[in-house]
Amino acid sequence: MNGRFVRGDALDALESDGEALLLLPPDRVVRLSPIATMIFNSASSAVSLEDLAPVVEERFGPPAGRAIAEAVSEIVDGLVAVGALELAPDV
Amino acid sequence: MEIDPALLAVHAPLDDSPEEFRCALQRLSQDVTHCLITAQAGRLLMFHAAAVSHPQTGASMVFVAPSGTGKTTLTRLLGRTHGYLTDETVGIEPATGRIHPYPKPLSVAYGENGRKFETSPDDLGLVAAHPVPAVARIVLLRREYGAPAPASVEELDVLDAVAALIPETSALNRLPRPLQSVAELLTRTGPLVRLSYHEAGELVPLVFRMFEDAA
Repeated sequence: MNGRFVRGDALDALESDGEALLLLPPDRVVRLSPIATMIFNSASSAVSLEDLAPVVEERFGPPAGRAIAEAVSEIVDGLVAVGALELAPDV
Repeated sequence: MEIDPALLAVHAPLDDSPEEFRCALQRLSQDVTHCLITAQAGRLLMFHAAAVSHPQTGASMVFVAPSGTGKTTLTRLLGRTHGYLTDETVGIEPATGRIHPYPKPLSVAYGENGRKFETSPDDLGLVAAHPVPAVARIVLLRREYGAPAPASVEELDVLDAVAALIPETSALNRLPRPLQSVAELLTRTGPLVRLSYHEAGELVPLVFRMFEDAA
């Protein structure tokens, strides 16, 4: 998925030790891994995969056996699928 | 508090038979619970739980669990010595931890067919609750059929705890900062304790020890 992403309409978020819980409407709970938590936090304003990949790699290191862009894209897709992130409107 | 009168409509029994009255009382109890939850949405943290209070201090243990996992049985055991708050829904003020008692009739199975009857807490010999009960500890009950005694005790970290409690809440999304509210409650009470057990009687000595620790 291409484009820029922002946080979805989570009702609340709770962080502890680098991981997070989100409460999404109406009452669905999603638990985020440390990488997903970092991506979610980075998306307080619109970010692209190109923005995210180097930041994630710097913090967590390169993924085994594939490109960082591919790994980040997969996590972003998952966050969009559960409603934690959404595509940012074009400006 | 304002309650929509339509929500309090009582369904009359269809005839004079004991079975009709038994079912009507069950429906009434469920309707009252539903009305209270609706009225307190956005005000209280509400858990699908039973609770008892220390008769002198008001320190209260809250037992969160789905239906059919022994809340009423445990309440009957503990309520002979500790004040009965509820066996159904525990409402807690997020800012103070104060519990709003809901000492409803208990659904107790009688006879060979195991039909449940709404039974007064007085008829069951349960002790009246402290006038100002407040949460001392939250316990998650997990009934495991065939699990060896004694019950196992496990403390959950905050994210595991909040994730485990959310499915047993009512109208949580009506509160401001719902996840933070649950986490702050656990900060006040100490970590969520998960008790895995087979028979409710196994839990009584553990709960008595928790009351001693809370004193």
